[in-house]
Amino acid sequence: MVTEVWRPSGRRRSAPCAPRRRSALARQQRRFAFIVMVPVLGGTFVFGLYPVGYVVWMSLHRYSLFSGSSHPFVGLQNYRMAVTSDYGSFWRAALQTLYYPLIRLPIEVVVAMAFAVALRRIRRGRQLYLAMIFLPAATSLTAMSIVFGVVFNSSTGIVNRLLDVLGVPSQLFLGSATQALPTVESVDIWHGLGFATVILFAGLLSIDQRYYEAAAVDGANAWQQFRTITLPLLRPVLSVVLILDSVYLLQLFTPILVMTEGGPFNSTLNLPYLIYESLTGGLLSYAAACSVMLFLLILVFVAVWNRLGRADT
Amino acid sequence: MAPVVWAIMASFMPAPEFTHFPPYIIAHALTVSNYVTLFKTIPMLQYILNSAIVVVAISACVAVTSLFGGYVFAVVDWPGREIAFWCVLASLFIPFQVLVVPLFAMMKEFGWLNSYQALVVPFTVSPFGILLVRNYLRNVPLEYIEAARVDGAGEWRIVATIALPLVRPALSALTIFTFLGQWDNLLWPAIVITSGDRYTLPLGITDLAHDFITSPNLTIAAAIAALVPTVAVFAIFQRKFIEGAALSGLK
Repeated sequence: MVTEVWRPSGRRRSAPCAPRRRSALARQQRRFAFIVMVPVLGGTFVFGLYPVGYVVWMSLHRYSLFSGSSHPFVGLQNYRMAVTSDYGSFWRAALQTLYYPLIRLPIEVVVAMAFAVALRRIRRGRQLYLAMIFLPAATSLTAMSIVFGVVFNSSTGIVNRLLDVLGVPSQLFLGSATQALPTVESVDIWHGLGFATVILFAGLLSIDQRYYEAAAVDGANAWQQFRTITLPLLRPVLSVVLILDSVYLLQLFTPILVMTEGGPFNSTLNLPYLIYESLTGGLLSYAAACSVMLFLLILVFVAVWNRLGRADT
Repeated sequence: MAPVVWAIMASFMPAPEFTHFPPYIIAHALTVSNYVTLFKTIPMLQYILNSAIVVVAISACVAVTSLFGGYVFAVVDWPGREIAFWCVLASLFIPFQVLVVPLFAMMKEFGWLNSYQALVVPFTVSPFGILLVRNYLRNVPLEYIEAARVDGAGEWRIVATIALPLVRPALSALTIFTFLGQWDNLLWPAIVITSGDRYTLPLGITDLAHDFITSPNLTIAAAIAALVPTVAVFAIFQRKFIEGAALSGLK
């Protein structure tokens, strides 16, 4: 393998040239690295790492937007405000942040897996099916949230008019405190399924066909093959899908802003939307405290999926 | 696919057909009046222009910083490389949602609210892009580059003539994803942009959807207008796009 020629740890073959020339080369390389790294590392620090410290700092102070004003240290007061008072319905939002992945992930594992398995059996026109399944992922989620909002509109939406034709009573969908969250989630499932399918499909292709041939010789049926070969071998890929999607869903924002703005009666509110709402409302320190707690929640999810992906392998 | 097909058709339906009963699945009369009204009602061209400026600027910056950053991490020897690399790696794992509040405060302190800088500058360095290019270059035999160095080629020349052609597939996949992701970015503009003439397209059409909830024909037309570029990009780069997505699971 070519990768063995050179290892990233910095040990490399010496270039066949005179020592003085080599040190000139090394100096030239260091200068080049410096010129490139100043903007790259600068950007990483200023917009990637420094804000993490800043958000923790903000959450422990009473931050004010007015320049020149002081930002007194208040300890855990912002966190206490979130956890104890009714303001901003923190617990409601935190709980509902979890609903989004809990609704979607099981659907995704089953449906995307079924798509992926079916795709592998298709020989002719596979690229076309793949493109059709993947198309939704390439659409703009903002635009499709608007479309789904119109489609599910309780008075003019086409879904209700179709239900009417079938004799089913009209549903409130986005106007109902119980139906709004699944309706908001529907656009996202539609949008995200293709991505999961493609990743799982790529994972399926990497499984050695000989396992299946051997199983078939032993008389295993399709379901047994799936359970004993596909599922265990696909486990690492599946855990990547679950991690990526959980991290994404715990931050779900676009369809909520477009379709419900957190309502009705906070029934679609999650932490990202709560952060947005309190931020635009000027409550920066409160929003910062919520951000830190959201971060911890995401870390817990990643740790759990990671552990599950590794278990008994 | 059905929702996209329906929405495209619906965007050409005259307004009364939207509420007709029994509902039309297939449009009876086609008209462009929705689009005409749309462009008259809100400054769509301004929104499209703003989005285009922001997305093109970000995609270009990300491609350049990823190319050079990935190259320097992969094949240039310099003190502190390991530590710097861990910093970039760490920033990859920080969810953007967590950064929104402090970044907003920083934009405010810089006096950048309602500006193009606020929309572009925070996204110019992509840790994912740097990692992608670095991993690509790590699998390339180093002899090529050493030979070029011995022949007296400077690092800039090596990047342009050796590294760039090698990582072109990775860079184009990265650019497609950056383009689509930023074209659809709603959260960040919604926070730093408050004045209408700096609205990006997602922000503009979301506002429209909220203000004109009773005119679904208009909002659908706006959604389709925002959808066309992304679907076009997908149609052109379909194969590359799917390969890129597949890769993200195998890493």
